[in-house]
Order: sequence, then C-alpha cells, then structure tokens
Amino acid sequence: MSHDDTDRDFARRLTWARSGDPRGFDELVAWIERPLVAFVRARGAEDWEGLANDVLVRAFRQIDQFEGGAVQFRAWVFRIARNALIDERRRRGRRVDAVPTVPHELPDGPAGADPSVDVEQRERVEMLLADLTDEQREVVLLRIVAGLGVEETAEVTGRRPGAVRTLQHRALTRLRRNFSQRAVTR
Amino acid sequence: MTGHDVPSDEMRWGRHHTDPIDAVLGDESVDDDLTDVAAIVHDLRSAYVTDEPLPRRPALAAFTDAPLDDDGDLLVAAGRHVGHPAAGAAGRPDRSERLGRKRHRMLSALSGFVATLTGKVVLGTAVTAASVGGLHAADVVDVPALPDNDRPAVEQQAEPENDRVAGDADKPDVEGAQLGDDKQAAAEAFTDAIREWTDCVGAEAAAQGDEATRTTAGFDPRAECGDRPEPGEFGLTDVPSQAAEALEGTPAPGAAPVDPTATIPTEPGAAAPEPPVDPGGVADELPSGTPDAPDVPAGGAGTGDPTDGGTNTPAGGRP
Repeated sequence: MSHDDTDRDFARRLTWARSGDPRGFDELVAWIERPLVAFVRARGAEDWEGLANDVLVRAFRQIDQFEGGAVQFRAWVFRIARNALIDERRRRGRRVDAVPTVPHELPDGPAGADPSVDVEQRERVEMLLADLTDEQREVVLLRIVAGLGVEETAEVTGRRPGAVRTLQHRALTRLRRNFSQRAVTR
Repeated sequence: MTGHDVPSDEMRWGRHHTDPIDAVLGDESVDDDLTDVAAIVHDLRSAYVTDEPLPRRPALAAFTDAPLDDDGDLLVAAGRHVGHPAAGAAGRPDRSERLGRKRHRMLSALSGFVATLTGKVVLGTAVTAASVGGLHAADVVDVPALPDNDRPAVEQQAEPENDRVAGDADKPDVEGAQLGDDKQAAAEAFTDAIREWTDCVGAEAAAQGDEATRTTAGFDPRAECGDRPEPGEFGLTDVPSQAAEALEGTPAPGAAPVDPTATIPTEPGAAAPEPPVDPGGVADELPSGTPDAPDVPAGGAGTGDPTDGGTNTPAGGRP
C-alpha cells in the first residue's frame, strides 16, 4: 500500500472517529494495535494489555485536538505509550526495591510475554538487548519492533533524527558483534 | 541530511539505503553485509510481534462498540455513551465513587481538626453550650441571653405588652415567675461555674499543648481544673430526669403532658405524681410552699401551646 493510500485511509478513519462513529475507532485500533502491543511488551510493561488499552483510550479522548496524517498519529500514540511506560516504571520503582533495567533480569522474561512465543528465542533476544543502553534499546525497539521510521522515532523520543541514527548505529554495531560471537560459540 | 549525520558503516551497508533497518524491513534483497542485521531484525520481531489482536477492555470498547439502532445508525457518539456500562471507565469516575472520595476527605479533615488543640477547645465549648442550652430549653435554668421556649423569639420581641389579642389574655406572665428566686440564683451560679471550668480547661490545654503538633496528648482536664460542675452541686436536683424528658421530645399524641415545673421525687420509694388531667393545669394544684416548685401566680394557666409543658389548656379555654 502506498503512502497516499495509507494517508487516505487514515483520513477516513480519523473523520469517522471525530464524528463519534465507532467504525473509525475500530479501524484505528486494528491499524495500530500490533506494533503498539509489541513495543509495550518488549519494553517490559507489567500489564501490557492494560497499558495498551489505556494508551489508545487516552489518544481517543483527545482525538479532536489531533492534527496531522498517519505518520504523525502513529508518532503521537507511541509518544503516549512511552510516557505511560515511564509512569509505570516509576510506580513499580516505588513498589519494589529494585526494578529490572533489562528484560532478561526478570524471572520469567518480560512480564506478560506471550507464552506462545518460543521461550528460547525470547531469551536469546533478551540476551542481545541486555548489552545495550536503555536509550539504544528504546530506539532499536521503536525502529524494528514498532516499525517506526527515523523521523517518527525522533518525534517519539524527543531527539533529533541525527541523534536517533547515531544511537541506532551504535546499537546495531553491538548487536551484530554479540550476534557473531554467539554464532561462533554455538 | 549532511554527510556528517551518516555513520561510515551505514554508507558501507548499502548503496540504495543509508539505513540498514529500512533496507531489511523493506523486504528488499539485502547485501551480504546486512545478513546478520536481517537475522537480528527477524529475531526481535518474532519474539514480540504477534498477530493476536489486543483484547479490548471496557474503556476502549466504549469507543469501538458504540450502540447502533436497527438501521445501523449511530445512537450515541462513540466514547460518549450516557448510561453505557463502560462510560464510567472511559470518562470520569461515577457519582458514587466521587461522593465516597468527597466523604472520605471531609471525615479526614474533621478528625484532623478534632485532634488539634483548637479542635478540642472548640468541641468542649460546644458541648458545654449545648448542655446549658438544653437545660434552658427544659426550663431548668434561665439564661437571659437565650429566647424563651414557649414562644418564638421574634414574635416575643415584636409584640408589645399592651398589644395582646383576646385569646392571649389568660396567658400568665411567666418570666421570672416560673422559677423561685433561690432556684434562679442556683442556676446562675451553675452557669457561672460551667463557664469558669470551660475557661480553665481552655487555658490549661493551651498551656500544655504541643506547639509543634497542636495536640494535647495526655491532657486531663479533671486533673487541672477539677471535676466539671454538676447541676446537683447547686441544688438543681431535678435536672437529670427533666433533661432526659426534654431530650425525648414532645409527648406522644394523646399522652398526658408533663409539667416541667412539677416536683419530681428524688427518693427511690416516692411515688411519681399523677399526670395532670385537670384542664386547669397542674400548676394550680402544686402546693405553693414546695421548695422545688416555683411560685405560679393564681390564675396562671397554659398558653394553649402543647409544647409549653405547663398546662394543656387551649387558648381561651378558661373563663
């Protein structure tokens, strides 16, 4: 689907949603739910399902104030998700003494992870990500798991696109090195 | 984009794409240099991206499942359902939840105030004032500052002495006559004693209170100011029973009225006086020499007001 088609579909959904038509909201959810859920799960959300629901509800409540196209909408929703994840992490920090900073430190992998996903594969990915800084990990997950572009990722994280590319480059370099070493030792 | 923005490895990774992730995600044939990046991208997406739709909770469903009529037209705008079960979850908390929070805040503020020194003094003063007011209402003591209880204060002030209507002609002038001089003096002494005791408690509490916390933990008013004055110490022996009756409210319909000025025996074996049935009123039958009975002038009768307690004579019922 071309960008024009995407923008045209998005404009239709947005018009419906603004008029209170449930079809508009339903199609917006269907359009964005998979990358959103993947991102909040990969970031280790405790209740990823509830958090993703909350993010969409927050966006829909303010949809009258939104201006822009599909790319801007996606960046806006992921920005809400990022803030919600930060809030959740703060709450967890108050509740427990130590918050796992990397996913593999959690006892059973990321909380709320889909059990259908191969556990061994998930552990392998978590081992790879554990070697990254939190900023690098966030950029990699937004780019690869959420499928956002560099510009969108910059918008979500509040950085310049050049800074996003630098973080991504360093992260990929590390990931590739660890990936190669692991391949050798296997 | 300037050349400074592009890391050198990215230039090496592909001629067509400066971004290796875009190249991999674009499903284009990747160079050999990017095979490991492609493997990383594949692993990451396989670990987290699933095809399962997000389970929608009520707040989200309020937007996506708005009610439609039989023709498929929208009944209420999505996310703005009035009376929809999910409306509370989608918007503000429901009314009962908000009232509960408000009640909790009010109770917390009230209990916090009572815990302070000022709160204790205010509460003690209020209790004392209520006690004195209750005794006044029961005609046990006479506090001049309070309105008489047999007639509304406003009417009493507005009505001149010589302006009485014919139906009120038989009303006695009860001010200063219902209580004997000795009882009046005792009541005033009791009121003064209560006031002194309250002032003492307030002053001692202020002196002992913790300035930092504004609390008076461990403060015992009896140890500092003695026991609180009781009406019995001033010869007001009929206070408790009459006060209790006054608190119980007006008699039941058809019940014989009780005269608060009547002597109530304090001896355990003494018989209570019969309720007055005489339309003339029991006050007329009281022995004038009885110490506890105030002198009522001859011809003194009821006001016709069933709450006056003295008599049950309707207005104008006596010749």
